[in-house]
Amino acid sequence: MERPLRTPPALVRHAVLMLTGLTVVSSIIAGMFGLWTIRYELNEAMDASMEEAAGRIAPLAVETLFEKEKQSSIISAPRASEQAAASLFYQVRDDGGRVLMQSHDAPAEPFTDAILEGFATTDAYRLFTLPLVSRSLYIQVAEPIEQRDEELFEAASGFLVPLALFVPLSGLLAWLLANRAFRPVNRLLAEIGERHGDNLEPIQTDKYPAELDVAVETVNNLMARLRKSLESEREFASNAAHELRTPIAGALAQTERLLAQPLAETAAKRAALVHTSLTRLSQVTEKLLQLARADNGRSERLSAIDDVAKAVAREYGSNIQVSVGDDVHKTVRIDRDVLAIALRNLIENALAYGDGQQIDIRAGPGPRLSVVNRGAVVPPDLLVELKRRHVRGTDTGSGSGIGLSIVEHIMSQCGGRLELHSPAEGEQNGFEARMLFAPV
Amino acid sequence: MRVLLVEDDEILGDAVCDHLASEGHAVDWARGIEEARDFLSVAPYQLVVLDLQLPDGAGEALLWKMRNSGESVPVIIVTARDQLSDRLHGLNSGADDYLVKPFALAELSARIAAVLRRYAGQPSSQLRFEDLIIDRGARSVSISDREIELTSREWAILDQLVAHPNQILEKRKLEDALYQFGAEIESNTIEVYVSRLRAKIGKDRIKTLRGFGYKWNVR
Repeated sequence: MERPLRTPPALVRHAVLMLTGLTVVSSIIAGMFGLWTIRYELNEAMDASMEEAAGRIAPLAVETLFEKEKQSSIISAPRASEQAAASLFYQVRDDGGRVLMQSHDAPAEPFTDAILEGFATTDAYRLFTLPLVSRSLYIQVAEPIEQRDEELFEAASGFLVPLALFVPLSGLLAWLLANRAFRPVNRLLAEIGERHGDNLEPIQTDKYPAELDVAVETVNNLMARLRKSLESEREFASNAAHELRTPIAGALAQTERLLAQPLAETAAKRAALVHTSLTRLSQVTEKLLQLARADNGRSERLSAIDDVAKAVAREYGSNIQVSVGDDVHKTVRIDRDVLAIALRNLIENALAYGDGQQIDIRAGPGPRLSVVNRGAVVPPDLLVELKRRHVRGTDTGSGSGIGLSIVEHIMSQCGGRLELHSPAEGEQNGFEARMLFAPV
Repeated sequence: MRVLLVEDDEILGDAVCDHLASEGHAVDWARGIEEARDFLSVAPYQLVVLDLQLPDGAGEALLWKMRNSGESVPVIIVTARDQLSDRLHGLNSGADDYLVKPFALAELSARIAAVLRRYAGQPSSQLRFEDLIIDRGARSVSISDREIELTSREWAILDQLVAHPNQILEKRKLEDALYQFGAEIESNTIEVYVSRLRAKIGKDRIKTLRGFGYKWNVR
């Protein structure tokens, strides 16, 4: 009842997963499209620069080749271009495919077996072949594929890395936003959580977004109905007490007066039977009223259980002793009248089944009250049975057998419990009914 | 003893009246608060038995008024309200005892006896006058362990006398204590009962003061 209510984590998690999933999918699509575009544009630009480089190198290469023929066979090739020096190689080949000249860092083997004009791609290179001098010579400009991939990777990482970083960031943002968006729901849940039998105030609609209006109104309607029915139950319990007790009291008192008169034997017998029956009716009514009271008690902070014990003990006269331990925890959460009902039941139980000697009410240690009576030890299996409704102890008692179960009901309603012990704590024999309250 | 019963239930009220009368009390029965006020203003009561839920208001209101006006007559609340809060509220309003309906008539008698004892400052219900023992709780009288039978009227007079030892009790006061409103009282009724009492418990116990009344002699 008391635990703080928060948005179910599943709701936030669901929203965060959905939003993050959407971000991931759109990031992947954007990334792929970007990658494809960059690759296309990069290839186009690099091919263009290869073609341009071939055009620029060709005259130089032809000139160098002719001069070389006059001097020596050592090839001293001009540079492909200042800019592309590091990345572009070239070979000048004759129409038979022989490599006549090559850039200084290019491999000695031909780039390709066959010579095809224009652009081509091998496993290792992107090639551009330009025919020279009426197709007797060819210049082949090559760029390693690996290098192209590197360029592509560098260009792509410029936007893929931020895009990848954006995914967890968007997850975090989604989480923050979802929590923020669910804040009214949190508040509403907390406010509903504060409602209980004693607080059924309607929830104000204007504090929440319009989307929650229907929920708030539904909860308010439900609480209004609950309040009405609780009120009428409380009223019934209180009215029933008067409406039932007074006529029963009248009937019992009249029967007693009848029995006090000289009567014929059969009339006296019948009057005695009526009296017995009325007494039983009165006891059962009493227990039903107690149950109704217990169900409708307000759960209040009670600051002195020992005072209630003393007040109830006074109702029964002098053979009930109340002892208050130093280590008693006196503040518990229970309605004073309901605690009194529980105590009366335990005292009546002790009076009915004890040996007729003194009854002790012990307050403490901790938040507990015990009612102890002297008498023979109750076997453990009977102790278990005793708390069940309509089970009586030894046959000498005359109770309705519902008392202990009323006390147990009361204790479970206030978050505590009833324990039965025999022998009583610190005694050789006797019976102890111990009420353990939830500490406040 | 003169008792005022305030109870609106006819059946219960009738039985309580009958029971108290059988014990020698003079009972006036009021069905509501107004009627009870009228009774209280004209007759000296020694006990009020008060219901709380009355047709013309709450019994506590009457009790408050009585206590505020200095009325110290013992009051026993008899009610259907059984909650501890009601009980504490009733006792705090100035009631001397609180009895929850339904109750045994004998229980009511015992409570009345206990309350009266408390008022008389007698912790025990037993009074001893040499060999004469009077138990006001058990309503029994014995001389030298021999039980004496008393009628309820005789008992009522004895009870009044021992409650006021060595004080003069006017004949009028004894009549008030013994008879409710509307009862027919013969002029020599009290004298008749007193002489019967003297025959049963001994001549010297009750002294007659001609023109004034009677006195319970304690040496």
